[in-house]
Amino acid sequence: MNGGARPPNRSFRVSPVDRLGRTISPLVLDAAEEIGRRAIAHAEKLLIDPAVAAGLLEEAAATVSRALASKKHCTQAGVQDLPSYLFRAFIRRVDRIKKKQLTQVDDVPIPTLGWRNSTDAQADLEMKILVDELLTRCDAETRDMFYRRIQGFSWKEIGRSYGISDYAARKRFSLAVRRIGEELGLKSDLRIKIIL
Amino acid sequence: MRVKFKDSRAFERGGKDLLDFARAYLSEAFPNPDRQGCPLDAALRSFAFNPTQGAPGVTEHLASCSPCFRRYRELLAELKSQKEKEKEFTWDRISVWTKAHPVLVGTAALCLLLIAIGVGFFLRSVRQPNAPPVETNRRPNPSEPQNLTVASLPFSVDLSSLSPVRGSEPPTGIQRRVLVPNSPLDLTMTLPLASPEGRYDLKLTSEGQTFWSKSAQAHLQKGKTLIQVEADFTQIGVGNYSLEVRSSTGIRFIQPVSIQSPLPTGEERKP
Repeated sequence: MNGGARPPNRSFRVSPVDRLGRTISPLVLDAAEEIGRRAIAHAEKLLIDPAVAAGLLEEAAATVSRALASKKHCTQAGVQDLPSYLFRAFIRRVDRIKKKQLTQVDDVPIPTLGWRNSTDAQADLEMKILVDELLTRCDAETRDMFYRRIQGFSWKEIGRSYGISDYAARKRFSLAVRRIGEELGLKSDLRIKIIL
Repeated sequence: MRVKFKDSRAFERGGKDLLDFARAYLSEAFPNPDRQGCPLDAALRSFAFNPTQGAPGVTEHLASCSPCFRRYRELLAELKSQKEKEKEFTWDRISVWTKAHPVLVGTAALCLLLIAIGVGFFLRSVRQPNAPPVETNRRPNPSEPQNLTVASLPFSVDLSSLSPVRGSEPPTGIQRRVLVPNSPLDLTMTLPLASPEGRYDLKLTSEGQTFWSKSAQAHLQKGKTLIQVEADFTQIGVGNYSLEVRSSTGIRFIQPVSIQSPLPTGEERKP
């Protein structure tokens, strides 16, 4: 890592009002302009029009603004890193659009995700959505457990990092994954064997 | 917002597949050349090595910044190798300590050995609470009275010179009486040449009365037909008897024997 944060490039502008007329708070607007270029580039990889992507970013920014203002579901203390939080909110909207396209239109072009060699682009896209949902919906601890699993840590090692048993670590993670699976509309009795 | 999965392929796939995908996805999909909003390396290191103390906001950033995610993976790999080294180091220390304190190690090993022996004896006594000690391969003490019931005495009887007796006709010719000790015998009988293999009935008779009988199998060994059988003659009184060997086809061999008191140990009599 090269020394952490650098001054943000503010050449990207976001409208302070989204297409539904909802205002975006200055704090969130600032974060949206910070991540704007990266967000549009990410959407373009998924074959989403940049104008649509910009609209999705404004929509995400307006929703986050309202959430922060209401302080009901998401307080400032809950959002640890506003630009990253906004980025993930934007990615979820992109995923939703992409999924809708795939389920409603048969001949929609499926983007080939160039992150690994795979022959099943649609399955990869679904897996991307699943990973995005997992990272967005779960708490910091579960997210970190997921990162450690990705790196090949055993449950024993993860448990030791958090000062709990391997069983407790696994259980905590599996419960979070199961809850997300249910929220995604998967049957609760479906055997979720991912990552576990 | 709810993203519904129409099919559950992503969930049904194996965990390793998803982890592989997530690794590639998070490492590549979020380039951040300007390093906007990236935490300091120290913050990442702190979180990797001590997640309960580190800033939880780091995980949020890692989900949308590939350079930081790659760096975090490096730190986790470093942590893993460090832990493995620590484990090896512990064994190394034990090894060094044992070399530095050989007397203590020897004493500890001796104690363990004694404990193991004690436990062994204890278990042995628990398993056989009233079993008498079994004496095996013990040399007989000349001062002790000899107990001849302990082992069978090897004894051979050569019947090769006998003529077969058919039906109930009495044996012809004069036959030498064989002296047989009245003790447990490991009896080997050599049947006349060309006697068939198979089942034979053995009987020890006297004046029409059977005192001992047994059935045994005859085998060919080096051109001779042999019957090997264990015979306990301890209950047979001293006197003259007939040892009758009868095949399934009705051929009989009758050998006169004389049962006598036990012979000195290790001595083998042959007819």
